[in-house]
Amino acid sequence: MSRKIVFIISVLILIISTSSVIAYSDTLLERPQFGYDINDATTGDTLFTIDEQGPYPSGTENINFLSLKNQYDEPISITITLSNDNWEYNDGSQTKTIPISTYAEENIMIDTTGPTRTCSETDNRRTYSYTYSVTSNSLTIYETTNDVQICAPGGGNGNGNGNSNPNQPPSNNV
Amino acid sequence: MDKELVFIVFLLLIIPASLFAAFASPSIELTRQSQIDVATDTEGIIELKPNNQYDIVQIENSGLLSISPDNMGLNSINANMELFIGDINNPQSDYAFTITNLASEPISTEISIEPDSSYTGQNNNIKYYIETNTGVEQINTGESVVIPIQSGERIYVSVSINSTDLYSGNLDTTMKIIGERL
Repeated sequence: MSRKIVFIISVLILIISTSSVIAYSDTLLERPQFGYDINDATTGDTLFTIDEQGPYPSGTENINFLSLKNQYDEPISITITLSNDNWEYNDGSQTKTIPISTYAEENIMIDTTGPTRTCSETDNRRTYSYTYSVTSNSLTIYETTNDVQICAPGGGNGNGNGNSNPNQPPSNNV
Repeated sequence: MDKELVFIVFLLLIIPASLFAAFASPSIELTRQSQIDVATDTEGIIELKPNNQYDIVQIENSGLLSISPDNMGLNSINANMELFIGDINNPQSDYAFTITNLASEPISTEISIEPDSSYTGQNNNIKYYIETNTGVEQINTGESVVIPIQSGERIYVSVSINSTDLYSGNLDTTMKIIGERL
């Protein structure tokens, strides 16, 4: 008799417990979204990258100035303005807009021949800069300026790894 | 008083002890089978499904939804950048991912974006734009919104990632969805 009663009570308790589990039906999903480190385009691991090809000798008609890579999954368009009159694109312009297909790479050539294209007489180098911005249907990289250096004719080579972003470390220009 | 009645009252007074004793008794064995399959995000009660148009939104090998440059083999987003994954004004037409209630009953979902400990941005650097039957809800990092989803209903989410005026740092976040049966 006593075992029978214990069994009935146990079943009752189990039913109550099960009911409470069903009533507590919350679902929790947590989905980490990693990889949002912020880096300058010259670091090579961003959606759009710039590989500065320095050193940049003066007096040369075709210098492979920058290699641009679109690592995003839609076509982008980059506008680069050479900030100093001493440089120009091969067609004589100072500003150029270049489309880059998805996952494609483009090389930008410039011309450094010309009477004013000389470096500082004191150190045979001068800092120039270029400004760029990138757009696509969904991606916009706002105007950013990088510094690079060019050498005077016969003065050796400069180093093109300069960068003027406020929070970037100083460039290692020679 | 009947002896049996006294015994029943005694048992009711010591329910916890008698319950455990009952379980321990070799004469009683109760078996309850529970079968709960662990499903990926595209097959769970709350389905999370990426828009295949965007490589940056993926279901990882673990089966979990991920929005990350890692999905493109990259470590970073650009400095001074704004990226929209989907149309933030009309997510239903172009979205980053969808949330669908695959349960047979309505669910109230609380959707939030929680900054990770490494997060160095502001609350407007990562935003979700969620389109429901009643319009587009926007949530910033650190905020949440409660949205009821009917059985079988799908809602659309677009994402904005913004590093304007940021040149270094980290914007890692975690999307959290708490679902509760209505």
